[in-house]
Amino acid sequence: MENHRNKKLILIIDDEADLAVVLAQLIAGAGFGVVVASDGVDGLEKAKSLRPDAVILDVAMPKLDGWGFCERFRSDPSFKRTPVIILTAWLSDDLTRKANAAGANGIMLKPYDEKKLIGRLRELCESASHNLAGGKR
Amino acid sequence: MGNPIAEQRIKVLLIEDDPDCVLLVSLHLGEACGPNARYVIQSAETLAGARELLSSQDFDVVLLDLMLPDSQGLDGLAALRRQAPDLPVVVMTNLNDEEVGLQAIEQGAQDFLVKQKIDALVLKRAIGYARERSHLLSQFEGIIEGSAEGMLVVERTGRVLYVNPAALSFFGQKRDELLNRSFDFPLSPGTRREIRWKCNDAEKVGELRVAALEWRKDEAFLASIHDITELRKFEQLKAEIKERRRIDELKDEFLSTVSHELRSPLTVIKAVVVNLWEGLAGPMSGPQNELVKIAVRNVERLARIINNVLDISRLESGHAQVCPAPVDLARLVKETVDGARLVNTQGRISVNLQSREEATLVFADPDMLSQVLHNLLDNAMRFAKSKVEVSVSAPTPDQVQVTVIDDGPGIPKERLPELFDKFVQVNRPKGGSGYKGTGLGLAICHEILRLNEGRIWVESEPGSGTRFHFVVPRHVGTAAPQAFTHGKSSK
Repeated sequence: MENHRNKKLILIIDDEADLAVVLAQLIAGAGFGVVVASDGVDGLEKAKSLRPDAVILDVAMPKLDGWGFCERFRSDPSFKRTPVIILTAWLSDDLTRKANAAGANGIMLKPYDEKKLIGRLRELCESASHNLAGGKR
Repeated sequence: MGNPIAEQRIKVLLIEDDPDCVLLVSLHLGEACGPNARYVIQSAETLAGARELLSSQDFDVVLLDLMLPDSQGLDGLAALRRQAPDLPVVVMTNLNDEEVGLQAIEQGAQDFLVKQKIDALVLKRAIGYARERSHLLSQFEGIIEGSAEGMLVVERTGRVLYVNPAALSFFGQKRDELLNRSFDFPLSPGTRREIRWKCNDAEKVGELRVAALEWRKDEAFLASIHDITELRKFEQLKAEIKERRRIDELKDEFLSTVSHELRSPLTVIKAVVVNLWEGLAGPMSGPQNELVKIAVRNVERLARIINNVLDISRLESGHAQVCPAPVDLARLVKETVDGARLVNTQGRISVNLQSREEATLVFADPDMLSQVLHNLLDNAMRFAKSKVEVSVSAPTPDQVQVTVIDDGPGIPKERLPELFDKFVQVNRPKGGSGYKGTGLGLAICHEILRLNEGRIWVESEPGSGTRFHFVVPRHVGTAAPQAFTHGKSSK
């Protein structure tokens, strides 16, 4: 059904309400539809009901953090190919490896570069819909 | 193991001035059996003669008459014990001298015999028991003397009656410095505690245990001391290491938390100004636009400073994980140069790339290398008048070198040695709107190359630009270069 929307829907999951507002504005300004969730649990619920085309995910969050979200999100077969970009302010050496292991499609350190974020989001959404169109099961 | 006493011949020193008694003993011990006799007897008529024999020969047992021409009573026994403390002695007394015999036992004789009652069996048994007892005694003494555990016998009054070598070594004193002196530590049976003792400027730590003991019919204490000095030192060292590790972890955690706490609001501020600038909150006037542009520039600078401070602390702390992999250095340089050309939108500065080398596979951490290239290129673009040249070469068969040259103002010779130190900025471009550095970029490059077994250096002269060079080890092997990884953004 997500194919019938005229805009790609991006789910932003971040407990930092201020950032969520501004990020939503940026992403909406780039022509996407936006929905915001305030933690991993909220994120999973909204993902199930709204079927987003991509997820922008914070790591440190109450209730269910970004890694926990990824694990549950990816364990749902219908979300196996939905792009996930992690945005985090936590810096650690094995961040890239952790993100790969969690099944994320990209990771960016906050403060992120807006142009790069939008660029990556477009790229991932396009290749995801391409895969969907080409690879019917 | 056979019984040694049964198999060896026993050498007896008989000290007796009465020839009848000498004959009697010889008969009882069957010396007449000749070369197969079990007992070999040597006799001396005087104590002096016996002592002479003792100084030149070994004996297994002494039979001592207490009534000798040159010694009466127990003095002879004492003299013998002094000369040969380990030699078992059986004294021989007359019918009415049993009391003296008992005293002799108290003073170290193994047994006593009444001359008038001696027969072969009594004599042989006395000799056998005497040897066996003495043998057992010396065995136990050997154990105590050789024990690593310090042992002291202390009288109820606190006077030291016995001390073994391990105790002497624990206290770092000689036997006569401890023996018969008063013991400094309070004792009561059942005690188990730690004692500390200053010995030649070093403190010894021992575990003291006290047990009740009977010593020559009197109540006494057995104090045993287990030397735990080394153990305590080791434990202390372990605790120190643990503490150091804990502090390191706290520091890392602190850095990480500070990083997060600084980045989070900064991210929001940056997102806000970028949205304003992009017109996402409606159109802005020219002066408004100008102000927001300044805000964006400075927020980006703040982000750079935070990243650099964290990078350098991580690199210097030794906690940075270096993940070396085969990397095509020329390709990485080209990607970085392309990126720099994109940012350099005004096109004020031309960037030329020269690669004189075909095989440029190196073995290093790709993210780290990319950061070095980015920092060097960033510096060069900041200081260049009109052009930056980047080249890749191979000065030696096992190294690949990158050189970044700018035609900027150059660096005074005296500032070159400190260039890779932290917070050093040379010839910082003046003026309000220029890109400002953090004074950490080159220090980070230096640390990264150190961690990747490479090297970085600089050549410069005022007025004729600056040349930065670095080398990294060439990759040896056949593994394919690592695919481009998504590095950390906003570096």
